Amino acid sequence: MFILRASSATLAAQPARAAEVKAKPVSVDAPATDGTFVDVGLPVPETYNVDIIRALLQDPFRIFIYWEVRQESLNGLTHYFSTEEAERFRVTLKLIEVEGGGEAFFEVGLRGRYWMMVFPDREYEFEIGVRSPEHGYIALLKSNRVRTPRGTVSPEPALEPEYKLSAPQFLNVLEASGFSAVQALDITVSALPGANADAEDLSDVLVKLPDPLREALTAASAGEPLTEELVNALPGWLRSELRRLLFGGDARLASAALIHYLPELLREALEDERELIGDRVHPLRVTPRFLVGASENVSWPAGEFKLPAFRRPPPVSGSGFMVRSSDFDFISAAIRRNF
Amino acid sequence: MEQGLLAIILHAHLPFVRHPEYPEFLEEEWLFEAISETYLPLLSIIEGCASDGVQARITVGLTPPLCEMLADPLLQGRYLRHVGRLVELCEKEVIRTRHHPAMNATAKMYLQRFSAAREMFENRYRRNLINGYRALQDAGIIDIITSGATHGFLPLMTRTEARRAQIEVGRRNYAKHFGRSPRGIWLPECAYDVGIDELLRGAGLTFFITDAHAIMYGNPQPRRGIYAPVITPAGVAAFARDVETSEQVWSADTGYPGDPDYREFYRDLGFDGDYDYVKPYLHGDGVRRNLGIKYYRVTGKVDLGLKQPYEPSWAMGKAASHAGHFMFNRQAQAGYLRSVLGRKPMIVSPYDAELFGHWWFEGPQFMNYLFRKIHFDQDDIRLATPVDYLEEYPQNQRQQISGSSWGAEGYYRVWINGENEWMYLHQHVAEDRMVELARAHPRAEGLLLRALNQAARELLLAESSDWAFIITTATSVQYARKRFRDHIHRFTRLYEMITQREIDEGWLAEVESRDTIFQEIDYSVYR
Repeated sequence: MFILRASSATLAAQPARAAEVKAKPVSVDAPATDGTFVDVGLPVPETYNVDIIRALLQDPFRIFIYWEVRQESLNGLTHYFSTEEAERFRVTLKLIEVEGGGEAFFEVGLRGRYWMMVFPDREYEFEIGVRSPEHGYIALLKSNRVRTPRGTVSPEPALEPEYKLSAPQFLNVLEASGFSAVQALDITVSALPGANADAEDLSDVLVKLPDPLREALTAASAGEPLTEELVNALPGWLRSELRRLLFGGDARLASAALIHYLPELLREALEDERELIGDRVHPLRVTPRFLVGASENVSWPAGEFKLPAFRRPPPVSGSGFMVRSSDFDFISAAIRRNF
Repeated sequence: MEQGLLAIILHAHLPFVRHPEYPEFLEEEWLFEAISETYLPLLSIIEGCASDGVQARITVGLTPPLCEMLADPLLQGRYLRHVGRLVELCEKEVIRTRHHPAMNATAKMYLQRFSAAREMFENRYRRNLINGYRALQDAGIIDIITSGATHGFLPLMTRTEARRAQIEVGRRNYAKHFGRSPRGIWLPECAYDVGIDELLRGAGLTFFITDAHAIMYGNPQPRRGIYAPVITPAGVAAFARDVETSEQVWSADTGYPGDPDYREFYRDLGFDGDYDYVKPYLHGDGVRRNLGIKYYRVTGKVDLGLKQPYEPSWAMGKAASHAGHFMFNRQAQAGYLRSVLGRKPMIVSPYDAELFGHWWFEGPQFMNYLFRKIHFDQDDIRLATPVDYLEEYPQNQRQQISGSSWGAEGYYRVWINGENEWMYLHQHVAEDRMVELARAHPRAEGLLLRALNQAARELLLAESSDWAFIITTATSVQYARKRFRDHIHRFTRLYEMITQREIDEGWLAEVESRDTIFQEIDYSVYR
């Protein structure tokens, strides 16, 4: 990775001399009006006239899908059905959860893209097909398979005795590796440079979480083990994951796992906060993933996207380390932004 | 008694930027600055340690695009011109600052540094820095690892053939420059997806580097956390980054580079200097830009206008004390970890090489002090490479590591989001088409062979993860879009020419003269 400079740097504004050339801000998308040549690159095709569907993982909870199906491919339906019947077919996107057998159908257009909300540690594939009330669903194109990462610790200790850990031992190892569960709550949310996010803002966000989730997080962040009661009150997929940890291992391990999901949970909690999305000067930006990613949202002005930092938990204090929680992703993003 | 091992890994990468169609090109300066401020200083420091008998056993990742640029005669010549102009400017600066002792000492420092850079580049390394790095590896001092051919983001390539080609072309390019096969690889952006380890094994690679959570969230639970490698299902070892050591160096708040005595990046002669005076050293467009000559120190959280003059000796003192601090922390960390993990920990500290010297001017000196202090002042930790660890501990836990990257938020979001998702249709169609071409023409010759090879080059260049990254971080967005579109356009035209069996040789020759990366390429790698 390298350190970049803006092609037309306007840092540290100096008083201009009469003869000095100032960098003109270049709008990439607007045509140059004064005859300046703006090299936006050679033209690329609008469409390739191919049938294609591909799925791209973004993170444990999100897959991006794009597709194109040609009209000629759909016209092939008339070989099997009458024209009237063929006309009643609608182009459909099908989500398939490979191992669990879950399916979902979405009516879509011939070309499109979609940010699909999914669950961690599953395998998914997608199809483009056609569906009609009389004949049901027929598949036309199949995508590649995508495996979502777990997003948190595994509930399974190693089988080999020399690598097997009890849950308390694993919690020690987790902490020693800098993945302290208790500190994860502290520093997951971070602000953009110049903003003033603090504990108050964090609690503003936390109150927006559903009650059962908030209770479980409160217990977990206090270092308490999760109880079966707390886990059973949680939303479906989260409940099943944590139950495995609870019964297979240790209730404190379940707490740790819940904490590591926290960034994702906060993002989901904010998804409905239209006023937060719309408020560009709000100091708290958990992540704008849903601003630029979700298919349903309001679009941000082009070029304004800024990736906020994601902090890591620092190691436990008292172990002789002199490191404090810090924002290394921020600095590398700042480096890349400012050079 | 030895408590642990420290693996410093310096990942040196720049995208392939070469514009023979212009007499000079702004973005080529990324390379020239990195040469003067990072790659040359690091070489001298490691060589200095070697000749003093100090162990400097680190791992250096030199990506194929960077190697290709370092070996390119056009860019070598342009670097000499660039640094020659800086030497001339420094000579003027020494005269201009002669009545200001503090600034004058700094000006003389720059004159000495740039003159030495020019001299070493030309004479010691015969214009190709790879000569220096290769010699260090051949002497057993450092280990050099490879990377994807054009630093392509493997998990977002949906064709296995495309992923395999990135790895294989990278491997062959490494063999061309270093005279041997690589043992380890820096996956671009440490981006792992299930199945990539199979491809690495197919290329004869024995280890790679991942981010911390790849192992920490892997299955089953890792016995030694992130402080020992795990063996992936394909039998390749994965070493995880230690986040703590990253933070000590990278952090804005508490990291070393922010120290008040270190050089301030944002006060540069290119902006501060009298316009007519600096204009000959700016680009043809006359816009003020960084020249690399800076006279102020960080001072603290103050406005740029209140920054105080740089004192090189103070900065050196800080570098020495920070090196001692870093080492002390590693000693404490190793001792603690050894007791928890039941084996000597391997603390893996990867950094972008360009951090040392370019962003953090004193970074290479910090490294110098660190190597020497580790060697002379203690016995708890030892510098080692992943290869060293695997030789000492050949038995390691097997694990399926988690898909991950070292990008912000730990997965793939920086490279696939609303700003850059439009790129992937083009990239994937080009990948499909390249595989189709390679299979349709198993034994091409002459003009057809040239076209097929150039198509492979254009695809690889379009696949650089740098373009999507730049678009997300909104730095040189226009340049990144231009590059991506140029390469997709050229690939598409070549595809059409080949399938229509009508190749425009004049146009092909023009493209070959511009996108010259991988002269050794063999398109059949896509079969």
